[in-house]
Amino acid sequence: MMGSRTGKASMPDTATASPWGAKLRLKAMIITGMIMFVFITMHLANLSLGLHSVQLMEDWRWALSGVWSSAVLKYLLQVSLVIHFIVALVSLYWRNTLRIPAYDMAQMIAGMLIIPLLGTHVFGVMAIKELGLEPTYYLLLGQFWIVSPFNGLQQILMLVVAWIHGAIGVYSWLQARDGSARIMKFFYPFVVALPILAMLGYVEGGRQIISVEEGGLGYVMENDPNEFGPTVDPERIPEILEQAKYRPKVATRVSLGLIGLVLAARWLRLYRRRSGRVQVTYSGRLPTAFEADTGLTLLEMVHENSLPHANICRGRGRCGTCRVRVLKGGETLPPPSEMEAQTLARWKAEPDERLACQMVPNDGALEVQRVIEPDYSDLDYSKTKSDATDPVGAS
Amino acid sequence: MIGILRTVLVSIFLIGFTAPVMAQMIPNSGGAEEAVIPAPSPNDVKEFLRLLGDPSVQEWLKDSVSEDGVVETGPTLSLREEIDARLSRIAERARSLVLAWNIVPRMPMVMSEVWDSELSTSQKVRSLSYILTFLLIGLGLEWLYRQFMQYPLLRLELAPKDAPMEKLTGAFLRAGIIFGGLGIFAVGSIGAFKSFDWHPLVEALVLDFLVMVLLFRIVMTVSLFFQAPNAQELRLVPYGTPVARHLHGIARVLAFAVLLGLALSFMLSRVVGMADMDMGGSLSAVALAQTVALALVVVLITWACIWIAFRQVPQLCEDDLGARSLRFWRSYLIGLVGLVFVTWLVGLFAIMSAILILGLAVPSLKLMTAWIDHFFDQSTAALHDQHAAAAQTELDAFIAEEAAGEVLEGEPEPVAPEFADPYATTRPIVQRGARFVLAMGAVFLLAISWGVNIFDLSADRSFVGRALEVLIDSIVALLLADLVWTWAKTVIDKRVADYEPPVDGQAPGPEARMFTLLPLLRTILMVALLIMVSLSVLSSAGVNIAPILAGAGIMGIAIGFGTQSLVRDIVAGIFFLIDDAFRLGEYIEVGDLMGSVESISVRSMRIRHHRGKVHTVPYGELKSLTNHSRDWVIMKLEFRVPFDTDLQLVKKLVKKVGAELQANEHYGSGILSTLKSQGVRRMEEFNMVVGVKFMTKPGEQWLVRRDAYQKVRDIFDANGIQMAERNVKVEIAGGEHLTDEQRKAAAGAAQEAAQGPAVPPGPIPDEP
Repeated sequence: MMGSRTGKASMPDTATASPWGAKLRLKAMIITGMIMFVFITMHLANLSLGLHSVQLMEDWRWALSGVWSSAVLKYLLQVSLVIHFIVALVSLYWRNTLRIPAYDMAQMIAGMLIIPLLGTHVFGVMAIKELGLEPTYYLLLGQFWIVSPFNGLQQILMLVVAWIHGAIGVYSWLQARDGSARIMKFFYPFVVALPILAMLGYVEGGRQIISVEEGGLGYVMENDPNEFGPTVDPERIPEILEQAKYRPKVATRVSLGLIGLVLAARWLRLYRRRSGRVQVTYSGRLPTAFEADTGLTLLEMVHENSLPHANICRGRGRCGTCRVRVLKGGETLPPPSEMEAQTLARWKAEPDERLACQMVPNDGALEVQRVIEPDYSDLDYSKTKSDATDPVGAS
Repeated sequence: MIGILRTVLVSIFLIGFTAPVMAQMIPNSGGAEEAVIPAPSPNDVKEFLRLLGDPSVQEWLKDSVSEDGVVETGPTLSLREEIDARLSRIAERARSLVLAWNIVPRMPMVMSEVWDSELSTSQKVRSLSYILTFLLIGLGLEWLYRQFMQYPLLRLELAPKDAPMEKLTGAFLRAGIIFGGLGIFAVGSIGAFKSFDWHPLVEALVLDFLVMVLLFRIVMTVSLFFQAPNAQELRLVPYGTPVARHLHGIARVLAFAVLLGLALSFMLSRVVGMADMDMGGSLSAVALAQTVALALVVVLITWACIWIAFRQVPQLCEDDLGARSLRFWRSYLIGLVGLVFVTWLVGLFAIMSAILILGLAVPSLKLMTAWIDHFFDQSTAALHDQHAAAAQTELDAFIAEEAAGEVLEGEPEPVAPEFADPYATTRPIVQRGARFVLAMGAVFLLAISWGVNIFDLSADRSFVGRALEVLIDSIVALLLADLVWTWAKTVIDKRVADYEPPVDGQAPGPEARMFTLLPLLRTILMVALLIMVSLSVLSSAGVNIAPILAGAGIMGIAIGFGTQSLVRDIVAGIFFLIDDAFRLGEYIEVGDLMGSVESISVRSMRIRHHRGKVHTVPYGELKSLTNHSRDWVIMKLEFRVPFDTDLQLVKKLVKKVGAELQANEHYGSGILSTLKSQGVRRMEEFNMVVGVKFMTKPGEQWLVRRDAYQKVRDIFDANGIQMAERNVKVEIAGGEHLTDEQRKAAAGAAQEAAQGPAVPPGPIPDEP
């Protein structure tokens, strides 16, 4: 949900946040998201050391994971999470259609799942600290692989879900930047390699500990700080354990409840707004025609009808690949917003060209033609201005 | 007609599509049963190895091997005993089924006991974790691969494709890209998993599931290859997007059900197999009950899928499908599935696999034939469209030119050349080839399912082995001969059909000799193939063909001696024809005989002399042959003129005549190099000989010569050039007193003396 649809700002028929509000939202999303992405990256890097040995994981724990327990970073992380979640809810509210591209859908679902999956882990570590123990990997791997393997399974799911959500966000942000093709060459392998190594490290570390449990050879920690058990008052232990079980449930319920509320509010907004129909005709190569409800952007209409259309930034108004030439019905269209105008200017577009992802057709008939083919066979970046300004939205 | 074809195609495709998925049932039903037999434990293997090392066992093994190295088997069973054994096996199977039925209520309890005894809870959950982890690793790697393949794939899917061949190439490329991803997925999931050491049971379970996921994806990719539900341009089957999506969905459900059933039954039998050693007792009955239950579920799902597909597809199709054929194929498939299940249930595995394979081979064959036909129809139609479009553009251009007044008077309107289907010869060959492959595949599957090693049949003395051997040999021989014959026949027939007999007065093209040769070749080929096939079938059936061969050899020698010259004629004829020494209608010279070739037969040719005589010449008699009708003919003419003739004038006049000849509308085009003077060729006693020559196409020279003579004489006459006449000047010494009469007599005598006595003219040169 990061980098949400800021284009709604230009919609004339929907009351929405002012353009600067949308921009602010986007900025907040990207900044908070990046903070959490850095955290996840470091955490996964730490996990992947398990492929060598649990000891190595442990040796690097202070640098890769421990720093995030320091007062400042911990606070930053928590604030980021809350802001990110709230802004995501606002963006969800303004979404006009849920027939969104597969990547956005994956990101959205992954985002909804994060808090329910994350709870046990986060509150579990908090409880361990409250018990006066050190959250060593030796302890946690034992917890996840031997004591409650079901939680271990949940961790794998969470790792993947969180990584997919973050990676898609960073990917969308990177893709609209200049020189994205070069960055992507490194980003793609990185985005696959890190979670795979982390999972393998997690599995291998677990295996080393399981084989000890089953009476074989494996890893036993030397100088275990938790050797002597909890240092907290023994009477408080049941209470802490109870809290560790209770808190994740509350967090899950609250987050899912909020999402449900927002979805209901969004449905209400869309229900009230239902309006006319527009007849869209695509001419040129792959000609087609369809009818759709107004209120959606042209790209959303295309997606609702499962038709091919070029859109690299997936409707964020940044890449300019969804441009269409308006042949008929252009007079009823609202003028381009500031962001759309900037993107169009970057492509030195003709006056009759618009972005399909930003343009909201009104009632009546519209005839357009794709500027860039859906298979990108005629995409030529050299047509953009050489002194390109930063794409809008990329901070 | 097209409607009917489409009906059949769609219904057959539907059936055929479920077929491969249903084929997955074999290992499910049969394999699950086999898997009940526990795999040998490590201890058993050790024990076996120890026994092998034991000298007494080695001694016994050596003894039991007879001198020629064949291990003696027990006495072969008589037919009655075999039937007895079969029946008792069925009875036993029925008893175990009854036992399994009785145990059903206790099943969950027994199973959970076994589960818990074999795997702890944490191990179970961990297995799940491992499955998830390694699936995700495989998917991640595949995603990375797909990122780099994204744009080529998009381009393949969206680029418009006109010709079916382009579609096929595109579909293959796409399938290749997707299979590349699947390979990476396999390496990432199964490969990564195998690189660790695991608890053996956990390893087996996880591997089973990972392999099943891979298999499922392979099945779906194959469905994608044909149906391409989301990429219309790559669809190879003749129906629309809704049907493709529906059938793809059905395929997904079927594949999922079958493979999940397979995986579960593998898993159960593994767990039971592990447990059987320590517990024993009713566990095998439990396993059987579970397998039957799973198989029943799979069969029900398959039935449901068939039913739904046959209900939905006609509704989704725009045009009407034949209701009767749909009903027939639906009942056929449902019946087939039921029959397979029943035979499996009573334990007749060999019969079950035979029913399944043969039952599926029939619709597959129909489906494949229809599909190939459709493919070729499409290709031909696409070419036809191109052809028509090209002709239309040409016509349009002509009309435009005509409107602009650029067309020369009398220029004919362009006529589109007739459309010729270039696939006419390929289609039957592809059909036969595909049929051959399919038949061989079915036989191989059958052999595998019967446990017969197809490559070692000659060592197999059992009845099944012998029967299969004869069957396979005969089928291979027949199908191969059929393939060769179809190919040769279509090629020959097409060439013969394309042959156009020459229009009267025109020289025939080189096709004429093939027209003679091809029917002969076809007959020879047919006879040879027939003999070869029947001999190989006979020999594979165990008939000793040596006497037949010997008899044929003796007969061949006898006939060969008797018809020595006939054989020589035929063979020589074939080579003359291949050499292209003469064609129908050509004027040739053979020894003393001349004439134009009137007919060419297998043994001899017939030439007609220009005066009507017909010569029949056997090819064996031909030593050398002169052909007068090839490419060009030079003809030289001579004129005798007096010594005082102006040679420059002669040259000029001849040139003029040459131009006139060239301009002649009848034979002008036949003149390759027109009449020209060669100057004085030689001097004679009383005159000069002026030579002229011209070159024409064969056959034209006579007419040109006639006109050349006539025109030259006329023009010489008109320009005062006299043809030289022979004149004798007689000087009579002192003959001033002679009278005129005496002078004449003297001159005559002198001429006679100079020339010799007058003789009758010689024969006219032999020319047509």
